[in-house]
Amino acid sequence: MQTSAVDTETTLNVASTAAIAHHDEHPDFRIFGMIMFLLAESMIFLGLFAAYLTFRAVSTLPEDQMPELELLLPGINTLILISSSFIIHKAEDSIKENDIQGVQKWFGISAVLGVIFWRVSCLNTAT
Amino acid sequence: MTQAIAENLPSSAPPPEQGHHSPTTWRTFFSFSEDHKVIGIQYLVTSFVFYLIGGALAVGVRAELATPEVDFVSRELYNQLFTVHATVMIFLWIVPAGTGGFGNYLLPLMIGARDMAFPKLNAVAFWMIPPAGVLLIGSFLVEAPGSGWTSYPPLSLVNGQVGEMCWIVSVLLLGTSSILGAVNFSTTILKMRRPGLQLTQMPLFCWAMLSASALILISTPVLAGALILLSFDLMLGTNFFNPAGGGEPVVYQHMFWFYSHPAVYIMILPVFGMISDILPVHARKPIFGYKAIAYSSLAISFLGLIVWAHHMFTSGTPPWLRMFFMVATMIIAVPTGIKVFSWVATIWGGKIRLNSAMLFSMGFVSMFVVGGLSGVMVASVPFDIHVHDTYFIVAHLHYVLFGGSVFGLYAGIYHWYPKMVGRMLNETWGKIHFVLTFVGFNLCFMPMHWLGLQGMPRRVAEYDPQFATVNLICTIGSFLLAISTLPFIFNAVWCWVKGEKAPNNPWNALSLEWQTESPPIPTNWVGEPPLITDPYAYGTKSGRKSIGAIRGSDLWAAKS
Repeated sequence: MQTSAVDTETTLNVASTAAIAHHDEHPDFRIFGMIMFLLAESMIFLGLFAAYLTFRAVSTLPEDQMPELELLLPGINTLILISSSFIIHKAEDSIKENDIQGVQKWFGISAVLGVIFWRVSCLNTAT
Repeated sequence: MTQAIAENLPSSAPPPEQGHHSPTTWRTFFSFSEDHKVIGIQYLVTSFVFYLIGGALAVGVRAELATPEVDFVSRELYNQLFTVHATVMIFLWIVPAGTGGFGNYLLPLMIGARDMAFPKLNAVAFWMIPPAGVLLIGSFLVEAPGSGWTSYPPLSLVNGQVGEMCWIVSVLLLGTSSILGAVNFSTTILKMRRPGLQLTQMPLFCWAMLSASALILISTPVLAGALILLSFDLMLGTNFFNPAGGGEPVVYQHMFWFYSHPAVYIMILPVFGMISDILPVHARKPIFGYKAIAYSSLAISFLGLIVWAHHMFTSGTPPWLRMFFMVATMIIAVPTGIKVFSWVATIWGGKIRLNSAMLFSMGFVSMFVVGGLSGVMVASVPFDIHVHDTYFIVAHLHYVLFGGSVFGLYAGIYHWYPKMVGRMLNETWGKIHFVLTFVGFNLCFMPMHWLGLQGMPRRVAEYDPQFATVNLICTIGSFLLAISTLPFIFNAVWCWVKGEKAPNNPWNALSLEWQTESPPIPTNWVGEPPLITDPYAYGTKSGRKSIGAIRGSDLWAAKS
């Protein structure tokens, strides 16, 4: 019946009590919007992956001279990048809970991971 | 459910509430306003200014082509003129006007929302456009890009770094703006509909915008990826696309057209939606085949993503792949044909009001059919191999983008101007505008079909003297097109200030955007917007009932 995710009860009640900033009328859709944006964002990488695979497929280099995809160092850095989202998320949670030590701890871990990331990048570029 | 909602409506309308929007004055249009109506008009006016600039560049191109020799501009400047002309027309006029302009203005009004889902993001998306446009057009002061709007490497790698980087940065900014807009449109349509309004009860423009937004979200980022790699080749000396260093330029073409073919649908889908909403109002008949039109937009959106390599039939694409793209491209004629036949069936036997909006809508349908038919012709590999890179393609694309999109945008402006501005446009000037545009357009672009079939290549400043007379006719047509904008500009500016006051619903339309004031108050409605479940019920019993029940100001006046 009701396809809209808007809560009818709340919306109508809010409207009838009047005089509110109109964005209070509907639920928060920022997560939904973010998912839409991430869908788009992931298409950049899909395009780049497709380009990479095509470059390899059409390359005229003999099989044994084809450079291998590096896995170890970029893999470590990818893990660090992905985990940093969770770490910053934990830090933000701590801020909301007024937990100063928690913030320091998570930001500290983030900084350490940043240094490792930078060091691994240097090694990766040097080799 | 619907009934229950109607009964639960507040018995007295609450006072108009401004939220964070202050009253709209002329200054608002130069500010970082978050009101979707202000942003919609900002998009429309800005993109129209760019349209005039792009048009001036086109006149420069045609002036050069009036004679077979290089006499009006140099070959280099000619390349820059048509490069910037195409980029401006696509990225700064049709895409922002169709999606950003009409999408922003109409979507929340049509679905009964107070604003877009993310008003700040909306303003950010708009304000990326002026700097991008200034960068692109300002590049003429330093070094303009001259590799065509496709910017194919290796040509784009040897044609001057400054101009090419200006083009890349400008297109990246415009693409980002487009993506942010699409995030907003899709969220607004899917999540912000007035409680009780189902997807299949929305005006068809909303379906078209949903389909166009999906295309923007899926395809635009791939172009961004291609442009980032291209800028690496250009500035850092990498060799992704440079054959001299072992790169593969065809990969760029695939990535480019993965966006740029869907871009055609991003430019035409919102216009399809507008036409589906304009025709029933002025023919006083229900839309023929609501669901067929709605779902064919989605079908076009999907098929539009899997046909890109038909632009590359002569790029060494293997025959089996060409076969796939040929068949897939021809299948697009089916959902598009469904729309065209539905429009014709809608106006068939209708009580047609032949005003400017209707004239431009009918002009759109007829011109788009010409462009669509030549599209089926060039979809066919054997034919395309002969006409590729000739004036036949120039004729085809202008019938789709000008005869299609621009005629549709004009129809939209004539139809919704009273709602946006609160004043009526002058009909006589509107008709003069239509006749001049229609004659100028056909005079300019129809002969190009013949030029192409005779083998005249595109993107050249000089040509075989045997084509001189026909080219002169095209040039005269283009001058007429330039002149045709004057009555429109005069009409739009004059009526903004002095035009006859528009009633709330001058066309007696049923869709929701007409059931409020002209122009609407910052929060769109006083209290809850009415629920309109059949916006196309013209001449039917339910239509009579609903138009009586929902005439905007009456409804709210009765409640207060």
